[in-house]
Amino acid sequence: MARIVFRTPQGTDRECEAEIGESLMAVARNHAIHGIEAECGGALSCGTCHVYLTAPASAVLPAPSEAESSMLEVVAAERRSDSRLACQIAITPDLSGLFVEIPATQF
Amino acid sequence: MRFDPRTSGSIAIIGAGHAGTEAAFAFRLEGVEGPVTLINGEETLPYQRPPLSKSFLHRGMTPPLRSPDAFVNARIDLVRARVKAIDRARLTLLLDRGDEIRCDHLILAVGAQPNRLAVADGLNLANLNDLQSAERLRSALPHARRVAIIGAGFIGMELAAAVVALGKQVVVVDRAARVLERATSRDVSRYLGDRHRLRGAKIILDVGVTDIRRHSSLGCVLTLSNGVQIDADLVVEAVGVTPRLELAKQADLRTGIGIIVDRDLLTSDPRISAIGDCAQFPLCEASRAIVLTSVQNSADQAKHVARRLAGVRTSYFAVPWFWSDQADDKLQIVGLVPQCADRVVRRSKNDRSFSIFSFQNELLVSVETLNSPAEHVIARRLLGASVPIRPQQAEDPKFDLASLLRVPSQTCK
Repeated sequence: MARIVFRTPQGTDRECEAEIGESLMAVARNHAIHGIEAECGGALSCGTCHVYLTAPASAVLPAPSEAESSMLEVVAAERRSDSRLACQIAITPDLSGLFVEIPATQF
Repeated sequence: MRFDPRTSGSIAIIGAGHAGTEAAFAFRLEGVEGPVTLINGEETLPYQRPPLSKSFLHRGMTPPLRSPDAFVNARIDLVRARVKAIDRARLTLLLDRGDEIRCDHLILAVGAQPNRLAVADGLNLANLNDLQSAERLRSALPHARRVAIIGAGFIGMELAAAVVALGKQVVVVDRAARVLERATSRDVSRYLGDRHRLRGAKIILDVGVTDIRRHSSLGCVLTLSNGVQIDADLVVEAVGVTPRLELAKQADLRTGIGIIVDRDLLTSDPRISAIGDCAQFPLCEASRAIVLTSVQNSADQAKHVARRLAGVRTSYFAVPWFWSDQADDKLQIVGLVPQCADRVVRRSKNDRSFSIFSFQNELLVSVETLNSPAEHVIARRLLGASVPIRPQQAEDPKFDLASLLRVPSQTCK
């Protein structure tokens, strides 16, 4: 298990226990986190699971793939240097403590 | 009695596919507090369907739609049963296991079932519609060297890509003149057909299957309308789906090609909604009612019904979109591709990435995108907000499509 904290656009924090191996998008859906739409279920087709992953926990992550990067260019909310698509992040033990900020909009 | 979310009316949902499961969770996100019962006719926890025709055949698993805990935490009562009948007088469901479920609002999310060819009657050919049929197909594949797929639609072509990747000889046959004929334009059919042939699939078009004869436990000989015979160790039927109508018909609800609903997604009984693959709905005010079989349609209709029962008054409207991953090609479509339209091609530096923009009466109606998901996302926003765009802009690769989104525009309704 890894401990993940989601901050909603309204500023509320939700702490969740995530299974190792599941995607960050699945964690959000399983814990009914508002604001992560994930319309395509992780097929890298919709760009509606945009999140900001705040350092330092995110430093262990591999860089986004070319496909993820091109989708991040067109996300609805502001793209920041820490923008990622939650469906492309697999939970590993060293992600425990990850802080995930949800943007105000996915559309 | 009218459903009132404040008096904790109960909701029952028949069908735990994408539409039904999404609806159950959407109620909680919308703050509906009453009992929600989700009736699952399948053995397994609700799962994602798109991988069944793709990665499932290699990996043997598809992700669940939600974890088991998520159902418990959202207080969704997941009931493993089949509904035998709907008693409309009491708004009560009669289950195969003998008991009943009463509710204040009922949602039909019963999905669609695979079509079967008349010539395949009694042969029990493999198909691909749910986890059980996908398991059966997957377990048959190791014993097959030559696989015949009847049907060159999305399922047939996704399957062809997955089976070729397993090192099998694949033949796809269809009566249509081109692959994906119903849903895509000529250029997309040509591109994807060529890609499948390049990877090793044989595609035979413009022919029907006139006879199928079984010669071993799985193997068959197909006879085509042009006289050609195909000997295959495994035959898969992928000839489309039809909404499941039995329950609705038996309950005397209005049906056509699907369960007929209005712009609120209500059936002819205002205590019963229908959503997803089984619903025949008007896409917009003036249009004829259609059935859409897609994840987007299921999810958007699920959310709409949840909002409506939570008290939000809006008619359903959503721009349809689809995706189809075929080996390393990703096709995405926004809008419904018309058979007749003015089309322009937007090319990129890479000849595997391009988009087809279809216009009718100078209005953009659909965009098909190959291997450029970012352009698809922009196209969704353009169509979603009815942003005016000219064919000359669409086909000019130097023109920045996203710039159109930054100017104020009228919204579609």
